[in-house]
Amino acid sequence: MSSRADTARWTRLIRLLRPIHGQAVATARRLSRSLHDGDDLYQDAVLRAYDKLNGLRDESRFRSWFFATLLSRHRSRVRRPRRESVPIEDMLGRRDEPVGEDGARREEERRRAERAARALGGLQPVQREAIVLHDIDGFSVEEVADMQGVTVSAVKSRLARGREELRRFYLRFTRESEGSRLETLPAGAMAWPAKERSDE
Amino acid sequence: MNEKSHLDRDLAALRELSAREVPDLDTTVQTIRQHGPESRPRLWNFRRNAMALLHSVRTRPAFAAVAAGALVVLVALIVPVSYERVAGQDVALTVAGKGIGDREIAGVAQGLKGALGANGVTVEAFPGTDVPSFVLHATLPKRSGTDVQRSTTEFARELAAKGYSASVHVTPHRERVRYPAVAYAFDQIIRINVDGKSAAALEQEIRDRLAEAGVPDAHVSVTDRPEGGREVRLTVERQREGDVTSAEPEPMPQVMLTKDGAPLTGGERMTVKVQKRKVNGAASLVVEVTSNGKSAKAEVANYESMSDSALADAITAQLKQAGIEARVTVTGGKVSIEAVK
Repeated sequence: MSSRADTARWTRLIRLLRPIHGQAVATARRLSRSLHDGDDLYQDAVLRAYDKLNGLRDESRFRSWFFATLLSRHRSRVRRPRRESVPIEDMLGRRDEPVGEDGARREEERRRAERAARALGGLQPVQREAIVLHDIDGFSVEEVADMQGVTVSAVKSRLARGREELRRFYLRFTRESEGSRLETLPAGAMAWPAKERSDE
Repeated sequence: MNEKSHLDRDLAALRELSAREVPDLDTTVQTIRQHGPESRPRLWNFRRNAMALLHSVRTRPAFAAVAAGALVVLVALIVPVSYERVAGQDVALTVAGKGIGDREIAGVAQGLKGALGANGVTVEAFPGTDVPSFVLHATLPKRSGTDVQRSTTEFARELAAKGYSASVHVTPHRERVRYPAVAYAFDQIIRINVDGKSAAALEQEIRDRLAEAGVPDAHVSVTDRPEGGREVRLTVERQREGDVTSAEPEPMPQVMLTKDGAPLTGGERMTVKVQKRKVNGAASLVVEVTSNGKSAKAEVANYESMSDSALADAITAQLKQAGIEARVTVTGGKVSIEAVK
């Protein structure tokens, strides 16, 4: 049975989470590159935030505080022995066979997202975080530095290295596909990386 | 289409798709609370935290090493161990003389108390047929047996000058204490700084510090070698009757010589332990040698029936077999071992 203090803590957390909930879930999915794992990561971060909430004094810093918690849980999961992941095609709502022009567009979007996820999977976790937070989520470098707990120059370095890795991935991909249409990339080539790289 | 535009479009697709069908916050929190900490017993939470800690330690070897080191230090600082330590000196002054009575011995006791600065003196009387004798006991908190011996001997001389017969016996007063392990370690290591000290001064300091630590009978010899360097010999003899295998060994402090605050390194360092055992009438001699990290044990049965040279050869051969080159000499049954340079 929940105590009154627990209920009050949950109420406070929900109030603080509400403005950033959608963004944080999406970030968790992008970091995990899986719907299932991303939602699981988000729940894990919420639970950790609940545990630590009494230590949060300045509520104006909640967003970066929560995202820092999310990153911490992400790294913790990356260090664990690899669990079975749900592939991104399952994550991204491929419930129906694509039909018609709209179906084809959605299928192409799914394939692109799948390829981006695969490219991100080849990065070191901290580089992936920087790319996801800055290049996809649109956080500023300063905000990412605050969330990652490092200097601005360190974030810039992670971004530069991460982008270079991504560029190499796409260069390889372009060569392999030899000018064929992106959409024809076979599903087998989209397998998850066998092993995560270790933390920096 | 170049790789950059592929990348940008792919990231945009990922951004778009990952933001779809986000479960609402209330449902998410409800799910968490159903499976969260409140729904689980305390034991489960403890297990969860313990597993998280274990995982954290397992994935961070450096952190694990530091944490383990910190834990060892913490244990050493907190967890008490029971051991015997020298807490002071027991003084026994035996006084005998014709005509010495209760009043006179009370005066002697008062004098002894004043001379030693003791808190109290107890008197044991042994009425003899013609000459009564008394043993005055005092326990001093001083750990230096040398000072106590000197003061008591001086007092005994004064008594002798008055016509009494007086003899002095000073023994370390040992107490079983329970202190943190770190205190035990400090009690067992005697650090002596060699900076600017002559051989004689160093020898005296080692002797004094050993006496202070409850080993007043150590034979200490420090000599300067003609070819340079210094030789420090330390010999402590102990006799024990009974089962040597089950008997608790007497704590023996370790002397650590330091220079500029750091332990002396280099040179030959040899520790020799010689035990003469007699079990059911059968005598055996056991020599344990540690030399620059190597350890060897030599055991010679029926050594009493052997000549000195034969015993020396037997010990030398066993030590050599164990990888230690040493010069062994036996003189009248007394074993002496030196490192071979």
